[in-house]
Amino acid sequence: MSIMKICNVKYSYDGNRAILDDITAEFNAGKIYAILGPSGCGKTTLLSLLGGLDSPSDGAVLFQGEDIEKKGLAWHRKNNVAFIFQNYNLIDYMTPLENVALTSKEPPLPVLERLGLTREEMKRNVLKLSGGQQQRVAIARALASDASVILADEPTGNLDEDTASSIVSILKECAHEMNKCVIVVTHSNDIAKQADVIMGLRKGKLNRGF
Amino acid sequence: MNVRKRAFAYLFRKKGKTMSLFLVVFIVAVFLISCFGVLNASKNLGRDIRTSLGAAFYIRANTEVSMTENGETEVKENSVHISQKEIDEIIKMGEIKYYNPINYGFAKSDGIEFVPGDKHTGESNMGKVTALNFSALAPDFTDEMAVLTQGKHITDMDYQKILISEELASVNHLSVGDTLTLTHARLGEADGLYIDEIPVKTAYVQVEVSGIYKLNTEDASMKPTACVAQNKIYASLDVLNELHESEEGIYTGEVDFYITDPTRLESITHKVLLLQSIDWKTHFIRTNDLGYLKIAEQLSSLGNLVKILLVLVSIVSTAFLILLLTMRMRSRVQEVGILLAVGISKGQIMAGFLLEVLAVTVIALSLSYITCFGVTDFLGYSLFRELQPNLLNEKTLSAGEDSGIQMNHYIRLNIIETLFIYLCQIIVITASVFVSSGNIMRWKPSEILSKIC
Repeated sequence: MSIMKICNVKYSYDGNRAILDDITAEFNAGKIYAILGPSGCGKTTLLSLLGGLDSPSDGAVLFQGEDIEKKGLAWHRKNNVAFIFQNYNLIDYMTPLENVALTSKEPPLPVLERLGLTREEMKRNVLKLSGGQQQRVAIARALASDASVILADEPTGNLDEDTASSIVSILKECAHEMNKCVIVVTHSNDIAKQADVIMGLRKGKLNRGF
Repeated sequence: MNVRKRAFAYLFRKKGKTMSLFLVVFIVAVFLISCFGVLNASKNLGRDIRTSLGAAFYIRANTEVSMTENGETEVKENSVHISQKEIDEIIKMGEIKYYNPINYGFAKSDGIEFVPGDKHTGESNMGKVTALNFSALAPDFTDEMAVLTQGKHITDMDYQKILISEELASVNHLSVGDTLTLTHARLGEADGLYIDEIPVKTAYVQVEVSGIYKLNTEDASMKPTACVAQNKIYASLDVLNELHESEEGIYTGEVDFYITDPTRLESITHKVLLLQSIDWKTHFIRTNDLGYLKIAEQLSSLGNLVKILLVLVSIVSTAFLILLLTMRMRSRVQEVGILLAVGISKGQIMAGFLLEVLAVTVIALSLSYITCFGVTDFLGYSLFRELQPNLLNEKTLSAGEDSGIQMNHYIRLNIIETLFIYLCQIIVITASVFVSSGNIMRWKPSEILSKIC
């Protein structure tokens, strides 16, 4: 059974122009999905719908077979999904430990150690970390939430090639070793090549095996 | 990480923003408390002045100037002669709150060295005694020429009590509560020297020093010792009676009457002038409204000005607070988006913002409460010090205490009034948090994130 499913989802900003047009797709645990598409095609919108940041104009988003709006979108965001953003989106007055603690039900230290941050780095202000380290903190925050689905929006967009590669490795590890469903929205064909499933979004339609 | 930890992390790490909010709340609180204090003081002072001695009239003896047959000018100084019977007739007319008859005389005391005046000798070593019912109503005190610095004023309930100057007390090592024996004396002049016209002493009275006053003026003119200002002794009326220098129930200095309603002064004095028992050829009435009407007008103007100021400050400070909090919220859109994305509800986010602002507010208000003491005291003394002579009310006179204004009593708000103002401020600040964050909170999480991604 799929962990997440979108059924006949439609979305439009102004009521006329459909960004997403009757999309249906399934996402399974233990796999990494890459969604490719040109800028403005609705990739981030799709991610927002999956993450409960917005509601579709029509259709439904299901988590383990249940409409996410039934228990509330905030509940869905808190318990079922975790986000990783291109610009990290860490709270700037907090340390890595505190950022991770925002979502963590367990002590945040082990997950940060697993992602390679030293104890000294964990206590620094996040703005004093490098881009790669900040993205690791963002991933740690996602992992610490114990969410089954990780939604990553251009997670390597601001990173150099080596760091991007290590981040992709971590995401693959999340999917394959931690049995999480990782959905990555990206422009990068390199990331897409490492995904288990590649989907293409074009003209409002989502096609598998892009 | 719970709401409380998040709120305090922000407060401690964003020190500049925390301090700016603190300063705004603190300054507004101090300003509001001070303005309400001034308003309170102007209202209470107005009320107390209305119920204090609002006006006075004095019956004094006049000076007759006539031409002799030789064409020379002759000046005849009449003396007052008012008996208790006439005073009782005036009191019967009603509206008289106090009367203060005054007798004058001289006194000596063995072992008391008066401050030496012109041609000082052992014989002229005497002081002038002003015997009266209420020393606080003596012109020197009402005009602030003298201020009681220790002890109590003399009241109509006192017997064998005196007030002396600081200089006289210092020279003779006297303090409040000390007793001394006075004897009668009369200043005369013979062969160019000042003499005591009562060489044989037959009358003595033991008196207690009730208070010590400080003179605010200096008189460098050459005067006999008895007329030196520092040697003036204020005494209860019985003292000169005991020294056989006055007769009980007969007043030869002047008689002052005090009424509460200044607007009735003219009609009362008109009625007094109709009394046949007083010889108005040798007496006259001088009136004094003690500046009440002018002060009441000033207090009213000040009160109105402060009310306008309060309305303006309230509007401007609320607008400024909303603006500051809105700017603060705008700079935290990203944080709101992140918190929403990790599943923290809007209610929890709002609670965090409210907790931050209220924590700063509580500290600012607590500190403002302490600061307000200094500010309101300063304002009180600056704005209302001039009203001191006009607050000779029943309480200060009957207690015989120093009539100086305890301005704290007037300008400081009580704890209930202060808490009410603080509560209003907290309500305004809470509403400001909701107004300023409401705009952002109305957005969908995806809209917030689209603005920051």
